[in-house]
Amino acid sequence: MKKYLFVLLSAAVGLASCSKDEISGWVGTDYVRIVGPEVWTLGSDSMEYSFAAYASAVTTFTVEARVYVEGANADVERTVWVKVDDATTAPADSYSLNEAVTIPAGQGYGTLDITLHRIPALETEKCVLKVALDDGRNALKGGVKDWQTLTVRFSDIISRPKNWGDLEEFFGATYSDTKYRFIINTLGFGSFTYLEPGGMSWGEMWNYRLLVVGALGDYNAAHPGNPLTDESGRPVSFDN
Amino acid sequence: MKTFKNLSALAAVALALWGTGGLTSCVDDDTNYAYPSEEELAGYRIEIDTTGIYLAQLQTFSTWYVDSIYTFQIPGVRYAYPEHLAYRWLVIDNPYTAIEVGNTTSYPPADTICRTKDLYYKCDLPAGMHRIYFQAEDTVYGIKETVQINFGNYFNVNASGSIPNGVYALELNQDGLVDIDAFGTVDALIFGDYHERNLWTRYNADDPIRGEPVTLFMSTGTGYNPLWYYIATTEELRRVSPVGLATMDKNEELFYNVPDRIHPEAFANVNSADFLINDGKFYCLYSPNEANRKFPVALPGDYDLYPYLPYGTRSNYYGVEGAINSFQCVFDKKNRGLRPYFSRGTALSQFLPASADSPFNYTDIGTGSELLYYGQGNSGDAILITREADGNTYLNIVYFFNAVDNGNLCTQRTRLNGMLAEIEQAEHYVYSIGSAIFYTVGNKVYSWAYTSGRTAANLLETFPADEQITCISTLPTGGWPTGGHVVYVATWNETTHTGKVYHALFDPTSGGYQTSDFAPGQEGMTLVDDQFGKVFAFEYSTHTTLY
Repeated sequence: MKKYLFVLLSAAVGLASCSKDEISGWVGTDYVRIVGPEVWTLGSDSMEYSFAAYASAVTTFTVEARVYVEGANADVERTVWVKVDDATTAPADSYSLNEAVTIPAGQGYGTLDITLHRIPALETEKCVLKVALDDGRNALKGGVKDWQTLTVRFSDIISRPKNWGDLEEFFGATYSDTKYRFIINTLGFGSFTYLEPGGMSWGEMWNYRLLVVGALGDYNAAHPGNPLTDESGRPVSFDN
Repeated sequence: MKTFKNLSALAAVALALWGTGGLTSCVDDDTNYAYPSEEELAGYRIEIDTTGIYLAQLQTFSTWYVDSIYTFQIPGVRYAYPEHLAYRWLVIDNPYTAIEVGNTTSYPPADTICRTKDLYYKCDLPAGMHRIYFQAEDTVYGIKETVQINFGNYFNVNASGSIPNGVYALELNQDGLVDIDAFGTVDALIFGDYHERNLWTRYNADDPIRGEPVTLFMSTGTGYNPLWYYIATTEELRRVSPVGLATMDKNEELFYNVPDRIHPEAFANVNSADFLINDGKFYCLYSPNEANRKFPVALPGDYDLYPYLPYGTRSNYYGVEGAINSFQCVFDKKNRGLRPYFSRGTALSQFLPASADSPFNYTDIGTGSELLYYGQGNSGDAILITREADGNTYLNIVYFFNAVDNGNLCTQRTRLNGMLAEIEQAEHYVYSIGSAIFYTVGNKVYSWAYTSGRTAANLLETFPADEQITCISTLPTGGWPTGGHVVYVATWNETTHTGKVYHALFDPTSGGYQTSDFAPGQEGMTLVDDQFGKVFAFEYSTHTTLY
C-alpha cells in the first residue's frame, strides 16, 4: 500500500512541476545611461585617445558610444537628448556629435557617435570633451549616476616612446618629435613591440627601417635643398 | 564427441608419420659423401668479387628514399661449392650501438632486406643513417664472407616524399604545366643515375604554378642542408619545402610589403642571408630560418639590377686587410656599373670610381654600352661581358673578392668579337669553377677559357637543327672529384615537343671535354634522357661552394 502511495505522490509532484510560472516584466520607470566603447573605456565612464599614434592622413576618430535603456524595450521609437557638459575644454571645432540619440522601437539602445577632429591645437593641448544626458529635455531620465556622462580626453601630442632605446638600431639613437611623427606618417602606426614577448621580430623591424629610410630619401629628393629637419633644426636621419 | 573424433584422427595421422619417420631413420646411408676434413675446411674461402664496381655505381648507396626500389649487381662470388651458397643483404643502423633490453645489453640483429645475390629492394627502412653489407654463406659448412658495400661509411634513408638529391630541372612539362624533374648522372658522382619525372605535379596536382618558369633556387639558410627552394615563374614566387615540395609561402606571403610586381629574377644564399632580385630591385633576408622568412621591402634607391647575384664577394679566410668585404655586388643597369651592398646597409653603396688607367670602367660602363652577361669566374673573378658603344663585345674580369678597392679592380679585358664565333648572338651563358665559360647559340654550345690564351672558342657541340638550347648549367663544386666538371644542356624540339637533357665532363681550365675514371666510357656530350619537358633552369641539391 505504501508503495502505491509513493508512486501517486511522485506522479503528483511530476505533474505539478510542469506548470508554468509567468516571468514578471519590468514594471518600474525606464531610465537611460551612456556607455562608451568597451575597448577604449575598459568598462569605465571615460577614455583617452591620441591622434599622435596615427599617420597624419588620419584626421578624425569616431567614438562609437551607445545610450542604453534601463528598462523594457518600447514598441515605439524614442529619443534621448545629450549635451556637451560645461566641464568640456575641447575647442568646438575639435568634435561633433548629434545631440538627439534615437532608440529604435523594440531595441534597447541607440547609437551615439562622437567624432573627434584632428585640429592643430591638439598638438599642444590635451582636451576634454564631456558628454552628458540632457535630463532637462529628456522624458527618459538618467539612471545610474556614474553612467550619465562620458568623458573623452584627446590630443595630438607626440612624445618619445618608452622603448625608444630598443628601437635605436632601426631608427637611430637621436629622438625627435619630427622624426617620430615622420615614422608614424610613413608606417601608419607608432607602436613598436620589438623585444616584448611575442612582439615584432628583428626582421619586421628591419623592414620598417628600410621603409622609413626610403621614405626619407623620397621626401628629401622631393624637397631639394630643404631636407627634413627636426624641431631643433637638425636634418632627420635614421642612422646612428 | 565430434571434436574428440577429430582429435583422434589427427593423433592417428601424427602417429603414422612418426612411425614412418622412425622406420626410415633406421635405414643405413650408403651414399659416398666426401666430407672435407677440418684442415681442408680451414682452407676454403668464399671470395666476393667486387672487381669492376666503380665508385660511380656505388652511388646507389649514397641516399635512399622510403618506397623507392634499389637494385645492385655483385659481379661474382667464387667458392668451391657454389651450390651451398645462400646470400643476404644486411642493414644495420649507423652508428651501430648496443641497446639495453631488461637487464641485458646487446647489439640488435641486422635487418635482412634481400636474400638473392643481386639486390632488389623496395626501401622500407626507417629514415636515418644505415650501413649495408652483402653476405655469402655456405649453408652446409657454415663458412661466411661479408663485405660492406659502401659509397661512404654509411648511407642516408630519407622519408618518403623527400625529393631525391640530384639535379633539378624546372620545366614546362609535356602538358604545358610548370614542373620539376630530378635526375642524377654518373659523372656527377654523388647523385646516382636516375630520372624522376614531374615531381611538382606528382605532389601538388591540385596546386599548379602559373606563368612561365624563370628559375629554381635552393637555399640552405644559415646551414648546409637544403632549407627550402624558391620556384620563380613570370607570375609566381613560391617557397617550397624539400619534403614533398609543399608550398611554405606563396607570392605576397614572402614579403612584409608586397612588391608592385612579382617578377623574381635571381637568388643567392650566401653570407647567412637569402638575396633576391625581383623586378630589378634588391631584397635581403638576413638569417633565413623557419621563423624568419619574410623578405623586407626592397632596398630603397633609384636602381635597376641585372639579374645576377654573385657568391664570391668576401673571404672568410685569410682576408686581405682593408678588403671590400661586401655582402653582395650587383650590376645596376640604371647607373651602368657594379655596386657593392654591405651588411645591414639601407642602400646600395658605391665603389671608388674606376681609375683613368683601368682597362674597363666597371663603375660606369658608359651610355650606349650594355651588359650582356655577369657571372662568376675563376678564383673570385667576376666576368662581365659587355657590348659597348664602340660596337665591340668585350669580356671584362673584375676582382672584388678579397680585394682592396683602389679603383683598379679590373684585371683583364679582351675584345671578343672577331675572336669568339657568334658571341654577339649568344643566348645563354654559364660560368664554371675555372676560367671556362660557355655560351650557346641556337643548337650550338661553345666554350672558351679566358686564361687559356686561345683566340677562338671551342665549338663543343652542335645538336640537331630542330633542337634548340633552352638552358645550360654547370655542376657546382663541393669537394668531390667531378664537382665543377660537368655541364648540363637542355634542348627543346618545338615540333615534336620533346625535351632532352645532355651532360658532359669538361675541363674548367680549358672548357674542352674531359674524361674521368669515375665515369668510365663517357666522353663528350651524352644524352641523359629524352623524356624532359622544356627546361628553363637547373638547380642542384648541394650547396654551391665556389671558395
